[in-house]
Amino acid sequence: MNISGSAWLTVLVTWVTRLTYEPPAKLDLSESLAVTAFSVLVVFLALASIWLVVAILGRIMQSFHKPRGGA
Amino acid sequence: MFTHALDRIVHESGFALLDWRSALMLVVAGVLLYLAIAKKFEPLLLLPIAFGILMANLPLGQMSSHDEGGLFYYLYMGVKLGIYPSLIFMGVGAMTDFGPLISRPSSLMLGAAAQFGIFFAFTVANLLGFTPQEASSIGIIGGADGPTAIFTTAKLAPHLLGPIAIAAYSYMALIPMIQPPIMRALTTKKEREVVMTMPRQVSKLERILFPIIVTVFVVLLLPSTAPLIGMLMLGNLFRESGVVERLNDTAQNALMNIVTIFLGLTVGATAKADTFLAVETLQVIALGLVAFAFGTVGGVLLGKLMYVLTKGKVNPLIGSAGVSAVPMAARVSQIEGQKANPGNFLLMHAMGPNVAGVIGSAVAAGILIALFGH
Repeated sequence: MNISGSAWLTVLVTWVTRLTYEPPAKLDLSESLAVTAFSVLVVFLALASIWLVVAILGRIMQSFHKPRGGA
Repeated sequence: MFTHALDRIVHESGFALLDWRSALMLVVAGVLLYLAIAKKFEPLLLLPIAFGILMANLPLGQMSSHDEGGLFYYLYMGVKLGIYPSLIFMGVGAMTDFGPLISRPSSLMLGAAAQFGIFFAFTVANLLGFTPQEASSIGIIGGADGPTAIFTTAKLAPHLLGPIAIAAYSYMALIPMIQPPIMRALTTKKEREVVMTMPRQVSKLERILFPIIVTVFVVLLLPSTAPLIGMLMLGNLFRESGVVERLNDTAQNALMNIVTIFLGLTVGATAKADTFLAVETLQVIALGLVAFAFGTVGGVLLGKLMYVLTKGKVNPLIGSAGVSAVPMAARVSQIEGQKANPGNFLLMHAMGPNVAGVIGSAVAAGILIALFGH
């Protein structure tokens, strides 16, 4: 299976630069896989970033609610 | 004179123009009405969709969503412009408790993994010769999220709106049949028996900050998701703020019900015989099932990985709830967990990935719209 380097690059550059993407009329296997891999990566990165922010927020909130004083 | 008038009425009536294709569509509408009423398959949407199909295929009625000047033509603008799905998302947000997700934010990864089905079906659809726009719309069925599927399809492949909406809502109703065999095949009994610890209490401030933070972050990352994520989180802020009870009530009841009627009817009314009765429709329905199945596979496999990484503290069954379908997918996790261990209560734990799936499918839709939208 040959995953075309240019297909990956096209999708990546399009995303990063937010240029108007002119997708071809049909995608072949390599282009489909490039879009798939890239999209799955973005979904994971987006949700992982929310995870990070929510986890940090949770830690901060929990620190406010820790019982004060010692034994 | 009388016979002439009678002859004219007969020949100018819809009966004279009722061909076999339209008649077959009436049968399709009848089957869907049966499933909605007798079998209670997602009746809130399937019933108006089915009635929309029925009306659109009665000759001369001018009730297709594409019949300019007809009632549904104007109501359909809410679908075409992405208004109805966004308003429904506001209602969903007002009904959703993100507490389980906030208390265990790692659930977000399960919501991401369950979107795998979208992209698997997207790839297969491309190989079958669909355009990237059509393949994206077909793939998004795997998100198990009706409004997102309709939003994406209206933007990318509006001619497929009928089959995609029907497939999405039918499969959502069939989740209790589709998911369990896959869940059991991919997990061991020991994994299914895992009892998870209760999540921590979430403070009111966290609940209020969550929709604001998610809106800012996700919309900056993927502006094309703004209508869906923004309205979802606005609805949730109505709920969690506790200061706009009237708006919260309207968003999740009256407004949601009104929009559901308009959405269902007009989406159904796009399914006219000449576009619906095609091989494409069967392919869409088959690929929708593939998308659902592989979404479940993705979620459960990541659940298994989390089981290993946490040394057995996460029950992989909650992974399948990462497909949206709130709360049905979480209920399936609960039922399967109790079958393995009657003392197991996974519902609360599965709600985390379940609501994460709503965000995940909206993000996936945003990516596809950004890449293939015009």
